[in-house]
Amino acid sequence: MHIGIFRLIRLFLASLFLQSSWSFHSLQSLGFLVTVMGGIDRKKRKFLLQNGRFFFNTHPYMAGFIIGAVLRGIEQENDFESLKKHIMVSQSAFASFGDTFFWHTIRPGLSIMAVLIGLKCGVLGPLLFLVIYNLIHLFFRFYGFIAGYERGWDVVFVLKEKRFLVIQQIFEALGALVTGLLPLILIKNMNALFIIPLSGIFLVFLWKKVAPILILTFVFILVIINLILL
Amino acid sequence: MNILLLALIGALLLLDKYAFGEFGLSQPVIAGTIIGSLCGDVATGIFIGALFQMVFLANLPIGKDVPPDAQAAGIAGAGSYFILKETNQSEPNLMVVVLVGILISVLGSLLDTMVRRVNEKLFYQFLRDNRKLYACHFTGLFFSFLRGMILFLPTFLFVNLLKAPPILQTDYNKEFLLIVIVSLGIANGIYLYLKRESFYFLILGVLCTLVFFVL
Repeated sequence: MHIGIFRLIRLFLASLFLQSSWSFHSLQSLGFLVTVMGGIDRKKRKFLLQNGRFFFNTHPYMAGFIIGAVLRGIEQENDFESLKKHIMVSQSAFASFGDTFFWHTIRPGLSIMAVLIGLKCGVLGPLLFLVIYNLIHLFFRFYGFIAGYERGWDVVFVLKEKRFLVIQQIFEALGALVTGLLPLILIKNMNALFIIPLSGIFLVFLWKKVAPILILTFVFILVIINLILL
Repeated sequence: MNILLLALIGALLLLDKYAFGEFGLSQPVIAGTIIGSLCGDVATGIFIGALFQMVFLANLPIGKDVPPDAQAAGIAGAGSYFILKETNQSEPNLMVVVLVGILISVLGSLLDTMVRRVNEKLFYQFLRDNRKLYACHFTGLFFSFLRGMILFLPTFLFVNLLKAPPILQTDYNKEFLLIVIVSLGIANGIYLYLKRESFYFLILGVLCTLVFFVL
């Protein structure tokens, strides 16, 4: 079974708006329906609108895997209740994978790299971030629809593929390495030694789960103290 | 740059946070670069973006959680800096940028919560009449855009009225903030990678840095 290039593009464009109407109660339900509607023929749309009223929430980049499988299920005229059960189970698995893979690994690693290269070499850092991040992100968006449609609900086993684990490990290593290299952007003088106590204080804040807003307030106080001491 | 245009660009960038695409354009370091390049000073744009990126790095959006709005803080901080620079015709104090960032990250998170509550009403509207699916869904996108305009336009108009006193030794101020950025980055890195195998790479990075400093 092949999804077809035009349908894939339609689904991809619709999935960019997946979270446009995100709310605490309905989560991504409307976005999910709008995306699925873009992938089925007109006759089945009415049926979906009447039966597709349920709550949907997963990682936005991973939604394609589930939506692809749903499209296959609808085309094979699967019972809608069983589709709902599959959606409920798989959305948590994909959400958990996406959070770890993108939010905990790729984005922080690339952000630190963008800051390091950006402060040292200018626009190259942010550009690298955008290119690498979107290559991976767009791959998941497109591949998700294709894999979901071709494999049906077995698509959940994609999460166990070794290549994704390898990518995750590469970005963890990259993030850790560039963190160690961060002091390179400082000017070589005695003031640079301030990073040792400051990093310690910030680390304690992070471990104690201090709100970022308080960390920013602490930075503000430091700037004032710095101005007074001038 | 025109304040209205800057607010418009800010609101469009903020859509990338979750309402459209999520290409990473709203990440503070990227948004700072974009605003900086539009205002003719990419280096400062990256600098301000980097500060907010590092503060909010470990602040990850999981599930229904609405963390402080790092993206809005970065956009408002960079925008305010360039507005101050244009109106005062001198290098503005970075303290103002940090202060604007603090206020906007709180305000942004509150408005975010409000928009998500308003979106609930759109969902119920859809439940009453399922022909309104597209209208309800894309109205949510409009509300997200409106949130950006409500955040940035008054902020930039207010900042435009400020007559900041000329600041002494801006370079020293910048050097100090650079130390803060690096410290935040290291703390976040240790926090994120400490319990993972990749921690050895962090030590490798530190060793490389030490070699560079000694040489």
